[in-house]
Amino acid sequence: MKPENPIGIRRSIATKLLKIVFSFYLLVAVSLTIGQMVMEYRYQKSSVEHDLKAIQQTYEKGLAIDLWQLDDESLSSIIEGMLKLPVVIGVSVRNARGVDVAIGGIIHHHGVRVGNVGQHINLLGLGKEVTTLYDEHHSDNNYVFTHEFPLSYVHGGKTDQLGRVTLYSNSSVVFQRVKLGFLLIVLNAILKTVALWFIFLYFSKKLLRKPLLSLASAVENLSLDNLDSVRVDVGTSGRNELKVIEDSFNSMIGNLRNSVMERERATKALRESEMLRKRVFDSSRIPIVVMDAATCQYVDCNAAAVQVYRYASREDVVGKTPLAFSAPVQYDGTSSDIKALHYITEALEGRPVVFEWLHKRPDGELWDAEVHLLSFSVEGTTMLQFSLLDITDRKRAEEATTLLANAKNKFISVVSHELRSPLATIKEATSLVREEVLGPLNDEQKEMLEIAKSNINRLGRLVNNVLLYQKIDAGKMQYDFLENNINEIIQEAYRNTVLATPERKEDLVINLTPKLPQTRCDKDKIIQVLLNLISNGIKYSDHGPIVIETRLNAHEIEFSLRDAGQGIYPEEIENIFIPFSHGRGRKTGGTGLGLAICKEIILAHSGRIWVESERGKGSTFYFTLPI
Amino acid sequence: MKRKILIIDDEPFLLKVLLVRLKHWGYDALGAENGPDGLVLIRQNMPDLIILDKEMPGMNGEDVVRLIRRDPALKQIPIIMISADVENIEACTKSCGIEHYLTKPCEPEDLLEMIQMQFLREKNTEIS
Repeated sequence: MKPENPIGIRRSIATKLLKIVFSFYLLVAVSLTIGQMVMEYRYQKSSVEHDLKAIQQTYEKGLAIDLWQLDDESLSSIIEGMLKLPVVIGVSVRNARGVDVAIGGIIHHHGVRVGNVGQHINLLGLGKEVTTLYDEHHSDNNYVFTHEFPLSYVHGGKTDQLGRVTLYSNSSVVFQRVKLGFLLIVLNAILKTVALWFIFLYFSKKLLRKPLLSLASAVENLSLDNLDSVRVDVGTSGRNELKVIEDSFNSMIGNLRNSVMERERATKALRESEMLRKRVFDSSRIPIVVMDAATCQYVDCNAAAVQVYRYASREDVVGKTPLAFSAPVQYDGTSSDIKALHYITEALEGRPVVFEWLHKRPDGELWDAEVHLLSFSVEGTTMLQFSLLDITDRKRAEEATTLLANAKNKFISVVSHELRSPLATIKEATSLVREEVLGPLNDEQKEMLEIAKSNINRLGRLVNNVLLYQKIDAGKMQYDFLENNINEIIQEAYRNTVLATPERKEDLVINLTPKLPQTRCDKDKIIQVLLNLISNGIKYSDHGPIVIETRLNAHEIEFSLRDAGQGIYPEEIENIFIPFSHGRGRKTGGTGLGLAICKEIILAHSGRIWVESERGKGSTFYFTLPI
Repeated sequence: MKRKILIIDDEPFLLKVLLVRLKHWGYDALGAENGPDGLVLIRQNMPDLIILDKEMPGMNGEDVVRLIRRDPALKQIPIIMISADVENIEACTKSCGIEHYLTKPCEPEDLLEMIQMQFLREKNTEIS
């Protein structure tokens, strides 16, 4: 993929690099070329001077002879020959008097260029000086340099100074020589530079620009969605900077991919856990409502809550306050808002609160719930969670049970009282007859009335027991615990029994342990227990001893009553202290409450009561009282 | 002189047998079936002892006691309360300021004992 904004070759980093490199290269190349040029110039100049010296040696003798012999023609041809040499641009010959006798080419006179004078010879030095031939002063930029040498002629052992020769040359000669080399050097430099430029550009494109652009394109196209498709290949081999970038880029993509995958996994796990919680919350059969503690408005609820509130949807519940679902007043008469505030405050203090709440449905129907209220915090917001248990049915059942229990108690109480009054009348009426107040009776009549009396008394006891048990059952029994001596209580019960059933007096055996410690008990209630047990013993054994004993245990006094009756069936022992459970061995009708009353009274004294019995041999009843 | 005892009980049969009993014991016995009638009889006959049933329709035993105690002429007359309500009779007599009570059904001996004790005490008070 191509980057959207490709960089032109002008702005390429390669070009920039190239510019910098070539600036330095040019500087160095130019300096070196100039240096080379100067050296070359110097070399060529010295070469010219050398040439001039060589010319001196070649022509010195000829010129001297010509001057000595005043040979114009020869001198002229020599000068002409000299001027033909490329090094020489001008020649001047001066005689011993300092007069120019021959000149040719371009000469200078006293540093001033005289110009091209062609060739002029005046060997005798007469007439005008040749220098005056031209007074026109030329000037050019060429630097002139000269080579002078003397002319002398040796004859007969003596040397005559004939004059001086000056050879002229200038820089143009040198330049002429240097020019080609210079051109070659410049051309060479230009060619090398251009070649280098292109080679550099080509390879920079190949080695840098392409990989960098592909990297750029990859970076540009990289997004979290296509991490798998993007991969950078800089196309170079070996370990280099680009490879390092490529590796880091690819490893960055790898890391990104890993972290994206990690994030996706985490997000997925979070979503799944969120969904799970949501499902558990929504599918819970326990209605749950969540309230924002700051606004006191419901922020969430599950389907069960919507259903129990009898609304159509969750949206009907969310946004409302708890009071929208409450009866205006609770059972205790407190206004719901005050009571709700109390519970909410308690829950906000960190205690889980459980309470019963009277709710109201949109149609006005009231229902009861057991509310479990607890507070929790979600990112700094305090929430309250209400879990509701619809206890309307339970509550109604409880009410019904209470009503039933009350009705039962009331019934028993009323019946007992209503039975008592006629019983009192019957008792009184029969007594009057039996006591012969109204006239004498025969023995048979008396016997019948005795039977009536005994049954009236039984009925009276029955009513009393029913009332007593009802009292115990309703938890209304009052106990008056005082320090008592159990032996004395037993004696009192014994006396009462003897009075009631004198016919069995001989069978009653009292065998008490003397000097028993005092025990805290309600004397009247214990007498009731003793009378019940003794009368039971009498009732279930026609004859034989009824042995009453006391003994002292570690922390209690134990009482036992043994009869010689038929005993109790093993399967009945378990239920013997349960109300209305007569044994099969029952002979005389009782209320079925006597032993149940005994058990309740003994338990109220923190004592124990039990029975041991062997069928055919009799039963022993025990109870204990703590000391 | 025979002692005069008034019985107030809404139960006519009990009233009848008790009257027979008291007469048998040698007392001058009178009976009323309700509170208002009883009060009329009290004022007319000034009995020496009143035997009063606690539970009666309309004016009950407690009301009768209150009215008797409020009347300066009657307030000295001793009262024995009888009741079938074994649970409340004790509290009731205490609040009415009555010392003696019997629960129905009661033994004739107990009743006789209580009456005799009452008159004996009265006699002692007179002597002293």
